[in-house]
Formats: sequence, C-alpha cells, structure tokens
Amino acid sequence: MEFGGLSRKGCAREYRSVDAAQRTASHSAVSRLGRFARSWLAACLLIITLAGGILAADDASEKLNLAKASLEDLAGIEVTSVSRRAEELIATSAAAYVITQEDIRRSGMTSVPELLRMVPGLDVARVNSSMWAISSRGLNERFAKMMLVLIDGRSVYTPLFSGVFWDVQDLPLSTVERIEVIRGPGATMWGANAVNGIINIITKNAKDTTGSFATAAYGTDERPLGDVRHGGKIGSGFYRVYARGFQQDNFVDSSGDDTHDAWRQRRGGFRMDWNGRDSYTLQGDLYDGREQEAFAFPTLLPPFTELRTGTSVVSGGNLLGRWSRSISDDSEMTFQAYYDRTNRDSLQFGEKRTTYDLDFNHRFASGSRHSIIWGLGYRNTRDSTSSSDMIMLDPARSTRRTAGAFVQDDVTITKNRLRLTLGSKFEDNTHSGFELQPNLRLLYTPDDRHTLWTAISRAVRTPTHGEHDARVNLMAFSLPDDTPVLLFVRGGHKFDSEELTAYELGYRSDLGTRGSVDIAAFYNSYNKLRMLEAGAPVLEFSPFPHLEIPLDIVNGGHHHTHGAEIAFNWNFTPAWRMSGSYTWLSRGLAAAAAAGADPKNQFSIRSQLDLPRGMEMDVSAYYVGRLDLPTDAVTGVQSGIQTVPSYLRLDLRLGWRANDSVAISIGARNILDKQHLEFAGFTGEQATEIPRSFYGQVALKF
Amino acid sequence: MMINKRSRLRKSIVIIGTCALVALQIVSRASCRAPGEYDIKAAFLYNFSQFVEWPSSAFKDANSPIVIAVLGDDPFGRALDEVVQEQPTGGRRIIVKRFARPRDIDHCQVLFVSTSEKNIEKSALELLNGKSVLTVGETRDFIKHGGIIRFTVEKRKIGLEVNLERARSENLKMSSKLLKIAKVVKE
Repeated sequence: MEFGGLSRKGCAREYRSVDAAQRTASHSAVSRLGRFARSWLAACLLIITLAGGILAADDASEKLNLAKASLEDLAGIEVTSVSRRAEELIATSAAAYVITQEDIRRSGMTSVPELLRMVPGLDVARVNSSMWAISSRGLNERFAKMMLVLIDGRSVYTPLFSGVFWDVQDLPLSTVERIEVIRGPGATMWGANAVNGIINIITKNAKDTTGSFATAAYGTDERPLGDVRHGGKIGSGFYRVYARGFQQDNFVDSSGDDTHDAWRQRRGGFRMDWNGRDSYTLQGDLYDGREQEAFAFPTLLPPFTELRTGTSVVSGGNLLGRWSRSISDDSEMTFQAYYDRTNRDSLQFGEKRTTYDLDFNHRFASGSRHSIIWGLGYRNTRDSTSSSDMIMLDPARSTRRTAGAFVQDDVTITKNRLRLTLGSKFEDNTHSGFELQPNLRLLYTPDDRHTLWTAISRAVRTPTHGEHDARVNLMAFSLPDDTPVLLFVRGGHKFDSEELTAYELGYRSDLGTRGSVDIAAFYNSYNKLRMLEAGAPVLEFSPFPHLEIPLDIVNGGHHHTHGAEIAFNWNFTPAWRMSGSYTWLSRGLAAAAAAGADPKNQFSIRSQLDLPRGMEMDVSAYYVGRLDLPTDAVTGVQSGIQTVPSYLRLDLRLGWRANDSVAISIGARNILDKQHLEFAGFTGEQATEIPRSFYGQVALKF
Repeated sequence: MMINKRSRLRKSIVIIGTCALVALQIVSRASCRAPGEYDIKAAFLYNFSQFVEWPSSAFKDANSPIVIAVLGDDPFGRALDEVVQEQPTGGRRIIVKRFARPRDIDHCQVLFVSTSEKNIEKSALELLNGKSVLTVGETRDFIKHGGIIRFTVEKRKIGLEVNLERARSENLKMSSKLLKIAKVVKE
C-alpha cells in the first residue's frame, strides 16, 4: 500500500485594543455573541436530538438482518469500526503513525492540535487557550522550530520565528482524511526544517464528501463550535464547500480565576477534484479570528515587568492547485502550485506574509529493482512586520527564496526482503545558502509480519527573519546601585542553519487481527544550535540612564538527544481495541544550549469499546512527565516558572450512532484534576491552566 | 469573574445533561446495533455459499452441508455463528467449523484464512489445490499467494477482489451477482 506521506505523493479589521475601554468593549462583544449562540445552540441540539430519536425509532422497526442482506447492500454498508492494522505501515523505513478517521471520530477532540495528543512520540503541550507547543523528539516550545507541518502539501511552518501557529490551522475534522506523523528527519523529501519530524494533514477527496454533514458541539470549552460541509458532482468532477465557526472559552490561572485568552474564529473553504488518469485538485480556505491575549513586557522601572492585555487579530487564505498523472502502476507525476497569505496582529508583533510555492515530482520504476523519485521546488515568501516595544524587526520586510531539487532511489536488493533507500535534497535559500540533506535507509522484512529498519539522515533548520533582524527585549532588573538593566536578544546575519545528524533504528511487528507493535529508537546529534552570547553592556540615556546587555544569537551549541518510542495496538475482541504508547527522551548534558522543554517520560493508553445498539465507550489517559525549563548558563535568564509538574489526563467519551445519519456523543476531558498547567511562556507568553471540561456533540448526515 | 465562570459551568452542565437524558431515552427505544467490520464479512461468507456453485465432487453426498471454516485466530466472535442461524430455504445446510492450524483443515467448502496465518498462508493455500475450496482472506498478498477472494476495506466499506482464473481452475462457478460487486484481479 502507498503510504501517502512517505511516498510523497482577509477580512480582519485592523485595530489593536490597548486601552481598557476598547478592551472591555471587545470582551463584552465576545461574550454577547457567546450568549446568543449558546441559547440557540442549546435549542438546536434539543431539536436535533429529538429528530434523531424519531429517525432511530423508524430504523429500529426494520431490524437489520445481515444474513438476508443482498450482496449489493453488504458492499454498501459503512462499517462502524475498522481495526487498525500495521500492514499499511509495515514496509515503511521511518517511525510513522497515522491518525485515521475512526481515531478522529472517537477521540472526542474538536481541533487538529488537540487530536495530535494521541500520536506516540509527540509532545503536545497547550500553552494557553490559543497557543500550542508541539514537537517530537525534543526541543519543544511555542515556536517549535524543528517540526515541519503540511496541510495537503502546503507548508504552514512560519519563517518569521519558526514553528507553527496552531491556532489558525484549525480545519473541520470531518474533512480530514488522515494525519500522518513521521518522527525523525524527513528533509530529503520535504526539505529544510523537517528536522525532528513532519506532520502531514491530508484532507478528503471531494468524491468522498458528497451530501451534507454537520457537527455541532457545545461544552465548557467549546462555546459553541459548529462545522457544516456540503458536496456533490460538478461536471465530471466533485466539489465540496465547508464552513466552521467556534468560540473557545478562556482557561484559568493557578488560583482558578479566568484568564484573558478566550478566542473565536470562523473559516470557510472549498475543494474540487477531478479524478482519473489525470487528476486535478483545486482547493482553498479563508479564515479570520480574534484572540484575547496577555503578554509580559519588560520595563525599566520596578517591578520591571508589565502585563499587557489586548486582542490579536488573525486572518488568512490560500489557494492550491494540483495536477497529477498516473502513467502506470509504478509511474506518476505531480505538479502543485499554491498561494498563501497570513496576517497576524498581536501586542508583541504584527506579520503579513505572502507565499508562492511551486512543486513538481516524478516517480518511476527503472528495471525491476529501482523505484526512483525526483522533484523540483521553488518557494518565495515575503513578509512585512510591525514592531512593538518588546519585539522589533529591522528591516521590517524580508523576502526569502528557496529553490530545491531532490532525488531518491528505492533499491530492492532481495525481493520482498531487503530494500535500500538512498537520496538527497539539494536546496539553496537566500538566508543560509546551499544545504545538502541526504538520507540512507535500510528496510529488512524477513516475512510479512516483521520489519526491521535503520536510517542515517541529515537535516537542517534554516534561520528565520527574526533570528537575523529582530531585537527582543527579554527582561529587566536593577543592579544594587539601582541602575536599571535591560537584557535583549539581538539577531544577526551571521547566524547560520542548525544541523542534525540522526541515527534511527526501528522494529515493527504485525500480529494480524490481534494487533501490532512498533518500536523506534534514535540518537540525534545537533550541531551549530542557536545560543545566546552576552555582548558588552552599553550605557543608554533614553528615556533615562540605564544599562543594556545584548544577547547575540549565535551558532554554538552541540547537543545530543536520544530516546525510544514504543507503540502498540491490541484487539482484545473485534469490539474492544486498545492502543498505547511509551516515549522516553533523554537530553544530553549540554542542555543549556538547547531550546525548549521536554518531558523525559510520556505514556498514553486509549481504549475503544463498541457496545450493543451502536453505543461506544472510549477512554484515553495521557501521562506527561515534568518539564524542567532551560536556564541559560551564560546569562542566567529564566522564565517565571522553573518547572511544570507532571500530569495525568483522563478523557472519557460516550458515543451513540443512532443510525447512518445521526451520531451523538458526550464526554469529559481532564477528569482527574480540576486544572493543570502544561507548558510555560518563554518570551512573555502567559501560560494558563487547562480546566476540566465537559462537552456534547451531535453529528448529522443529510 | 469567578462567579460568572461557575454559573456558565452550571448552565453548560444543565444543557449537556438534558441532551444526555434525551439521548439515553432514545437509546433505550432503539434496538439496532450498528454492524462492525466482521459482522459484514461474516454475512459475506454466508452469501458466498449461496452465490458460488461447487462441483458435486466437493461434497461427500447430496445431503452433506456446506462447511464455512475459519483457519487460525477467529476474528468474527459470534457473528459467523449468528449469521448461519438463518439457514437457506431448500438446498444444503450451512455449518461453521474452526481449524487452528493448516494441518487440521478438514473437509470444507469456504475457508476464511485469518491474518494470524500470514506467514504460512502461501503453503496453507497450496495444500488446498484441486480441492474446490473457496478460499477467502484479507492479507495484502492473499491473491498472490493463491487465494480466490480477498476482502478489502476502502472508505469504511467492504470490497471484494476475486481471482477468477483460480476459481475456474478449482471448478467453482461464481454467480454474476457476485462478480458484479467484485473487482476481478490476477495473481
């Protein structure tokens, strides 16, 4: 089977509410909208539930008799649950995991980043209501710089400060086909910044979303959330349109009081597909949102920090076209082009970004032993930023061009037994020049049930606009003689790419219908990691005499991490399936040079139980170990909190598929504790605590 | 702020609670159970016995039943036994047998090869050459290993792949109704 990923196939009003009056106005507008939507949603939920009951009663009267069902009927029935099999992944020489539609449906999650919690080896930490830090294999932070994220082949990794703004990647989950997560480098195929892993979000072909589908959720977090999708035939192809809107409640601080991080967003989009020997896809999205925000700004007067609150305005849109021609079973070529625009206006900085991207790749077989894939790509991304008195970018604008080519050969050494993969990416970009990113992989399958693989690869993380041109005021304090001191981070053009050489080893076992086991171990050796180096203090006289100490961004750190991930699926019976994972990560001694904070141990266990009468009961538990925040050895700079305690999160979901058109679920998240903290702010972000939450959801097909 | 949060929480609980109550009430009225993957596959196996014609040499005598057998770990649970409770009117009776290992395979007409037998699938299928057994499986290489019908799952629906040449060489006649929903493939 083709493993899609590995085989590689604005309307926001401009304003910034800084004064209290405006803030209050915007806040009350948010809550007014919430109350209105809430009462309506409650009424709708009731009506839908009642309607569902009537439909269900009809259905019950003609009890489904499978023995009497015709062959056509049998072939047309959608199964409620498909047991996960490792077969799909058995021939993959990387640490990979796929979130299926069944996993999505039964997770009880309502957003893409939250859904990623189930992926073995991925550390998902919610900084506050609208910010996430997500990375595999360490160095996790809000701007997780080593993790590349693609939505239908479109990169959503931001070259401003690196990382992903997860708040604006919130697709309706009912349009997601699957999410493929690869831990470890994937730079040969995907290019720079696919260092610690890649997340590939793949949406459904429009052919599979004909008819109408709606989801409405309401809970203590979702207040409310709604998705609608409609699709059909258009000429010889298919189309779908969708709309999504939600309002997310604020979280709480350590004493349980409301924090300033509620947000709302609306989004719409379409996708058209013409399938055949030549397949064409055209798709696009538009979104806008408002997010309450709070940041700590350093000040020169005691208490040297000031908490400012405001509202971020985010908006964006994209348009993507893809043409692929399948020449034969072993040969295919794809051409893709996209345009993407994002705007973000927050208290800390503003960014408007426009990206054009072209990508071509061609896969073909040469003889019976070689399967070759090669490709060419070009990306132009330019931004225009606005500064605050904490983060300043000079020059405010930057354009980055990346041109790249890659070639990879899959060589069958012994048929069905031994396969060697050898390839490299050759990339040239305006910020760090030429980059070579090769990999070598070996896959051994002694039989259909066992796979052993190993890989050596190199990947780089390219410098961002921020690392070259930003000044970030980090913190202020006073000397014993009361002279104020301001520490600031200073970007510089000397800063070059960070490099990784990764060594990986993996084993996979397919136990047939009973389950599967997947084990991967790695040793990552990083070079030229970003470090801060204190420069000579400067006496500044404006607005009054004070000392400023620059911290220059330099390449210096050598660092290594190693760890292992174990994941399993076990089907006790066809109706009771369990999966779990354990992740162990060890950071080397030179941790001072490394960014982010990572748990040493993580485990998860999920159970899916099919009950009679279309009922389902799902339980998930996640344990994430303690986070020790890095303390910079040179400067002694620390953020306000030094450790984030470990937590155990328990989620419960009860679902009921009344019939083919109605499904209802209720659930609770974080049952075990009233609230807990998952991360900390690094550059002024305010980490808030995630409260226990309850929700109800109705999905309707019509 | 605190009070506001609590009252909102209370309101939410009331709303969710109401929905849960209504849902429960409906659940207690409905009596259908959504079919799982293996419920449908079991029904398919039953249907194969009705849409495939065996040569008379495949049976001991005119009264002997059609035997649907499972080789290896049984993924069906009770589904297969439940589905054969509905016996066809006229024609042969249908019974279900289970074999743990290939050497246990006894007289049968339909043999479902569980994925637990993956490693020895090919040799197990070779054992059945010329015995007019309709072999059914679901591993990726089932057809390549000499099987006749392979279950596929695509977009949550169960599909069939049929190796027609192999069926013919085993003297099995497949009804056009069966072929209509299947995809004919070669080894």
